[in-house]
Amino acid sequence: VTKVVVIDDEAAICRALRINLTARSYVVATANDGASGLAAVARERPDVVIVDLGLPDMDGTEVIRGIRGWSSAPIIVLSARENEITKVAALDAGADDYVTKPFGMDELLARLRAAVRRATPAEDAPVVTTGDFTIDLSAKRVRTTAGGEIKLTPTQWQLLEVLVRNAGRLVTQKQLLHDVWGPSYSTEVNYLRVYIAQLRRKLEPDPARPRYLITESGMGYRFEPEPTSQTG
Amino acid sequence: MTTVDHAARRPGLVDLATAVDARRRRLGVLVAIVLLTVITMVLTASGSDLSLADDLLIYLLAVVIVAVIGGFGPAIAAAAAASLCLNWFFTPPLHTLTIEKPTNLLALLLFILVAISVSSVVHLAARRSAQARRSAGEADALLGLARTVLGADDSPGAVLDHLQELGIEAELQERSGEQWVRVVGSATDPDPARTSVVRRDLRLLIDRDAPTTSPALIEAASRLAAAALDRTRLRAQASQAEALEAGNRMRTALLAAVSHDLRTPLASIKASISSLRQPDVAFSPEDEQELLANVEESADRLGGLIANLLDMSRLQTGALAPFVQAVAVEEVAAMALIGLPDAADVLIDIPEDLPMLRADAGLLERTLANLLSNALRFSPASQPPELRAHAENDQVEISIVDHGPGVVAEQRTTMFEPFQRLGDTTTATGVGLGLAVARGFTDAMGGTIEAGETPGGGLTMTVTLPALPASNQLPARPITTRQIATRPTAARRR
Repeated sequence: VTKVVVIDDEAAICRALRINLTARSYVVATANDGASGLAAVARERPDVVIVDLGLPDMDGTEVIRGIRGWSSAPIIVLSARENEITKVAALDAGADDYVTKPFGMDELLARLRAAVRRATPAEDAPVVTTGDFTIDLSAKRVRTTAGGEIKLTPTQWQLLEVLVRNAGRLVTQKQLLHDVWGPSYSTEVNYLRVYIAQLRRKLEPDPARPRYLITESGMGYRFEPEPTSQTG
Repeated sequence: MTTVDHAARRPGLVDLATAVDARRRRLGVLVAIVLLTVITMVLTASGSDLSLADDLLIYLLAVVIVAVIGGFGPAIAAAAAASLCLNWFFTPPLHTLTIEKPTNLLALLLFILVAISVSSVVHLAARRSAQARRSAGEADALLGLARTVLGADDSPGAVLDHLQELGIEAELQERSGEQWVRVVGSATDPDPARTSVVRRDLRLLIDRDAPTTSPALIEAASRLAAAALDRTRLRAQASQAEALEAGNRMRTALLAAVSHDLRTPLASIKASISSLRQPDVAFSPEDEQELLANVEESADRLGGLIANLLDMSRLQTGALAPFVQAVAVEEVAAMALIGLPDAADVLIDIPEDLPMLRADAGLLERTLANLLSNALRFSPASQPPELRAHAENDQVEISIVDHGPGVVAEQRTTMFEPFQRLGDTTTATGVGLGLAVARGFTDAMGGTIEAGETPGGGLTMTVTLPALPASNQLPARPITTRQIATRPTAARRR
């Protein structure tokens, strides 16, 4: 059973999340301010926490820091502010991912699943299948659905592997650069642009409208193995 | 209408001020001494060919000259000295102060009387003409001041400038509580000789170095300065009131547009949801799905409208802080297309070697989304809009090209104002904020946005932003695979 604590002062959002998550067999506890949210996290020991950044009593970023002080449970941020700096601050404080309000329930659930998956990693290297290609992480091989092999350079593979292992989750530019090129490259965002573009040309059916390798403006990238509809 | 030549008027005023002063009197005395000495020396040296009458006339001429230069006082002194000289050098017995012939005594007395009379007449005439010049100068000055105040530039500063042209440094002060505060002044650090109080809270200080001027001129100037100040303030209030009025009109327009555009999707949400919650009717699964889709679409429309409203208010309150970083156009364009209806139709032409640009990814995404949404809305189904980008010098130009009806040239600048949706009265689109937000964001990122015509008809919007310097564009050195191979499995590192 996966336990979720939702910290949001908006009762309607809490109710909608409780109904949805309960229907999908999560165990849900809700809190409507930062202090009771921190108490609920301490009491429930959840597997994943959803935190709204705009809380009445304290900054959501403070709540994230408070949780990170002793827990490594994944934290998903709900942000009404379409402000990159706020989101970056939340991610720096230890949040794992974010969803911008107003959000679609399918989007939030996808983030939630990805976060829970990260928390309980499968030890054996998985095979990830999408509508257009299959990635075999242990064999380091990518095949199209039709069966043809897609050849990747070592750097392209390295980049794809980081994204696929974090499937569904936001991977920040800094983290990607650090993991693929090393600590001294953490600001060379142009590398990412070049190699992501190469990967898209090899993997995406329409590289100009990527479905699998998604850019999060100014934040990072996300590999979506099961793209949701893009009308929202 | 005559024009008053300032340069010509100014010496007149200076004359006026110095006509009767001590300097002139001293000069008169000096001239008297020199003239009398020279005349006496010349006449005694040349022998006594001349009669006493001739000598008298020569001395009389000297006294008149002294009267013209030095005024009455020096002339009297000169007459007395001249009579002594005549007595000493020219009336027998010579070199004594006694006079032998009664006729000579009479001549000498008559000389003194004539000298005094002529001097006083000359002096009076000089004074009258000086007064006349002064009056004419003041009349000119007042006329100039009046013209200044009645003319185009009637600020108190202009009045003081006018005084300054007359050589009068002055400062207008206003009482603020217990203190006098400078409103405007031509003197940098006034050393006030005179104060002209206009009213309880306003006064004009005249600098000590200013030439002496009639009190009437100063009073007139201070009243004119006060009037100019009042008018300037009234004008400022009037323009403020006008700005407020314009703001009110704008708010009224906003409220009307917003309440309409907010209510439309809200009405659709309410209608759909209340339909579904009716207990006495069973909808087919298809109808149910349709109603629910209705709700979500309307909610998205509301979301879009509110986002634009918030962006607009962030722009207008100056609360926008762009987070400028290296941004790739193709990535932002892809993000901008997500969520737009018919986005799949948009033709994208972005060269692979296009430099990255310096922008806020989020703001650029919203900018492009608003422009694309506009382009999609006005595009005929057969000709979808295009998104092109190319580098131009140190900049990147992103063009959103549509083949719709286009916009006439005169409206291409006003269309960026809020609520300027051109002749569009349908309810299917948002408040006319999209373009205003797009321009505000582009400005905030240090770029420009321009509306032009698509060849063959339609609108082309071009966003120009600075490109990242070439040195930062591509990997500076080859990335060796060895570096990568030595790294442990990346994903586990977190």
